[in-house]
Amino acid sequence: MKPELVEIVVNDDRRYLPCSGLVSLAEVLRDELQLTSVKVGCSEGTCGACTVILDGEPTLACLTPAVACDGGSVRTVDGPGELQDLQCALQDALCEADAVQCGMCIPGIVVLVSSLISQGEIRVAEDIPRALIGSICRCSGYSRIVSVIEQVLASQPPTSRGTP
Amino acid sequence: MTALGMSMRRRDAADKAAGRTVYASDVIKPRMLHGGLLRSGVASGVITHLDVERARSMPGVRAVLTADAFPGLYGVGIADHPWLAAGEVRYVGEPIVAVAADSAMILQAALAAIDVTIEERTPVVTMAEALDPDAPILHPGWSDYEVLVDVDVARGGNVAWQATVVRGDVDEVFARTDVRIVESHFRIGRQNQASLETRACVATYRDGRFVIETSTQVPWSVRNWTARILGVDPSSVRVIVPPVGGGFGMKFEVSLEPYAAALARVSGQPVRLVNSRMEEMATALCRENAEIRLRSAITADGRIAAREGVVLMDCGAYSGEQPFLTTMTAHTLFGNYELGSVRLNSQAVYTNTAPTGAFRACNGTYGTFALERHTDEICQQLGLDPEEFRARNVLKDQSLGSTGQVFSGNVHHELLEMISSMRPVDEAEVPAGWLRGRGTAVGTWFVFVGPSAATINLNADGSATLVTAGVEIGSGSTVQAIPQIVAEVLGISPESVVVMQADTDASGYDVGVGGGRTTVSLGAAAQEAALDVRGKLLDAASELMEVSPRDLEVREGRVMVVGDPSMSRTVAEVASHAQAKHGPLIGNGAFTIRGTECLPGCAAGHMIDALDIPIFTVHECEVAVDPATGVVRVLDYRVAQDVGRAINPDAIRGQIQGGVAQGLGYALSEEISIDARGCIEQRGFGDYRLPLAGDVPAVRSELHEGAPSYGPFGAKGAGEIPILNVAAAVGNAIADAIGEPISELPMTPPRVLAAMRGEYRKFRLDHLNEPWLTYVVGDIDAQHGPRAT
Ligand code: FES
Ligand code: FES
Repeated sequence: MKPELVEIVVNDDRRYLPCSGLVSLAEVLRDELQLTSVKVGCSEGTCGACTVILDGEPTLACLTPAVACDGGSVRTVDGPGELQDLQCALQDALCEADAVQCGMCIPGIVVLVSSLISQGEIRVAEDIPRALIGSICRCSGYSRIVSVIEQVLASQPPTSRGTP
Repeated sequence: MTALGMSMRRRDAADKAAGRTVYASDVIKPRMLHGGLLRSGVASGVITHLDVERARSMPGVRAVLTADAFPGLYGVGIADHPWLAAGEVRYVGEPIVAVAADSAMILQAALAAIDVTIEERTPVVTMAEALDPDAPILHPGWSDYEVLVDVDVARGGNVAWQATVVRGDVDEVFARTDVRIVESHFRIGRQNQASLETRACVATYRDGRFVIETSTQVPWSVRNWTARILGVDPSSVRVIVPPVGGGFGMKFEVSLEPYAAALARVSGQPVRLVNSRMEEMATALCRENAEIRLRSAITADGRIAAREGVVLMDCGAYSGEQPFLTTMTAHTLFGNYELGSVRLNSQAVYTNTAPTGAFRACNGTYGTFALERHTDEICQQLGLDPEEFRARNVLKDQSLGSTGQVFSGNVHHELLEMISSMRPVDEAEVPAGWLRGRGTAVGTWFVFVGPSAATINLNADGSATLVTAGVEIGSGSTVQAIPQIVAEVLGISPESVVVMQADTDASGYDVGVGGGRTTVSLGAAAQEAALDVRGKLLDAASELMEVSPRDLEVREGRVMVVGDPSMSRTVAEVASHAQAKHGPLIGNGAFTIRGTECLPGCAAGHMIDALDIPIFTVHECEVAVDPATGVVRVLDYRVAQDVGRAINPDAIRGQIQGGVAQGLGYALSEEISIDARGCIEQRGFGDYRLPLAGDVPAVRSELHEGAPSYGPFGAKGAGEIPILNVAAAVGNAIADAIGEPISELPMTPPRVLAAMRGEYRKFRLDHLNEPWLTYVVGDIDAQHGPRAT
């Protein structure tokens, strides 16, 4: 099968990426661009490790065919952008809380949670378990991750918590 | 300020959170090939035809290997495991052909082009089937297999290994009229480690040697076994371990590395192998399924006069870790309490299913579940108070364990007191109609001590580099506890201690990271190396400062005169002086098990007769059960854990939270079922239900310090044991809530409903109903020799 070239803006850089068949966005980001911050825990859409922002929405890169992203824009945890402050706040708090163990789940959780907070999908502590329903952490038992999110949530100015 | 007891943060956290950490599964090399395996789709059969020529001639296919490339048989206790199936397949998922190709797509096409015919046989799926006298024998050549350890073992047919404990005369006690007998049976399911990073490695072949970067807990085992499986010299294999994305015991054995190594040699290019989640679901070295019968004779004053047990552990098609693990039932299922007479038979049984292995606290988890459910059943049936019963019977100072080892300290007692002071004051709210229950569980586990080596370079800038085979699997030991131990000895800050990533070319032998041994074994070797280099540092300082080394101490980065801190030099000044004058400062340390006595004749077929560093723990929880659906919610969870010495309390509490979460999955939701064809039915996280954020409460924990341990500064392993009692505590809480016993794991909603209908009241496994002697392989009297009573 001949690969076709797909145009994707990745972390603000315009890229032309060879994509054959149904190769996933996760594979293309990892193998072509060496963006290995996009972790793969299942390749089946069930762990959340591969979460990226596609056209503003948190998306499971393992389930998304790269060809379907043609003309789109992708942000990974590496990227700059409007979520950066929130991401940094989460990352710092995770380190400070000793919440990171093997670390495989963390980039995906950082991307997902910062996006959901900024979209107003996580507004109060009670929203957190539901927001993390697709995020598996096998090491930590979650409670430190959850309290870090609560803490970051509490430090957000009300305006950035989205509109109801 | 001392480096011990402080909750130092981990230096690797920021990169992990930012996605910059490169795990083995992320390693990319120039010209790297994609490796993969053709796996058997049937559980038992004979390979009647195998043709790889079409695959081999496909463009982009660089190497295709079959069984003859892997001449050595693998094993932990018995060498019974060919690395590619030759002639026969024995489980679904067993590798038959290894392929390396330019791309993942070509690899898939090549695997599909392999022509293989397997004449299917009826598989032996359950242990009951395997032990049937008419069952097919999985390994007809079993008696020719090499036994790899120095243990006299009884085995035969589908029993891969038998470990027994015999002490006193159990029959006599059970026949007494002044005892009451309680019998319980248990059936336990498998549990998949499900580390988020699957098994993965990249191998290259250069300068006549294999270099393997791999996601493993055991770099030295991988080195030695890769060599043996490939039939090459061990010194021709170098193993490097990047940060590991979780292991939990699954990465405690060699796995993909020999395939990658062989493919790299044949192709002349680097080869990466990464298991898919589906492959991990089918072939992970799960915590084994097991079946248990337990009988106890209880005296009128509530003592355990005799206990008898039969434990069947499913090792799958190849024995792997199970021969070792048959040892541990003596110390867990037959641990915790003072016992009169004892007899226990634990067998690893071959079936046509995927091999099982080690998973955090291994069979201790279900041993403790069965023992503590049995304990509550004893109390319930005989009208005894469980709190009093436990307090009366737990191991105390000078108590004898089941194999006759003498315990010291009253740690169980103190933990029981700690846990009772942690009970919640207010009851958590539950929906109307839900049933509440409380469960308590006592547990005994151990540190898997064994050889470790360490070298420390004390650099001229005052920093220290520690070279060991220690792997960072996520627990933080190599970025927290171990640097803290070294820093404490050297009087420098833990931030200035760097632990080198494991590399078998640089570090000495090590058993591996697991079994709660990292902080203890590697920590003790590191401590000894630090003491060695500290002595040299003081000698150099004495020369520089013209003071006797006996009058010097190291604190806060300075070598100073005891009692006169104004007379001091920085560690960097002294180290650079030493380097210029005598050469760099280097210290070495080595550590291994000291050995603990047990009573002669008690244990047969055991790899560990006594626990060298026992660890104790007590868990307690409150649950609510929805009587309409059988759903269980954990309302509060408390842990009192013996840690010896808390080197990094926050890191330990992080291990407790994570271990309890895995235990809750084991107790309640992580179910693996195997169909009649020997196929594991769960294919991924969609149908294998791991705990999620909403399922796990914040665990409250108290750390008990001061129990004896010869670990560094009195530390014990803290990372493995937190999972030990969880199923037991939750099981007892459910039974308390519903007023009925429950005897199966996991306790999924349908099983809880069955329990509510009273279905476990007289739960019996038919194949475990025979007299104890029926289950013994060989002559029990000959195996135990002259026996102590
Ligand atoms: S890798 Fe995409 S959800 Fe698991
Ligand atoms: S830290 Fe290991 S999976 Fe979350």
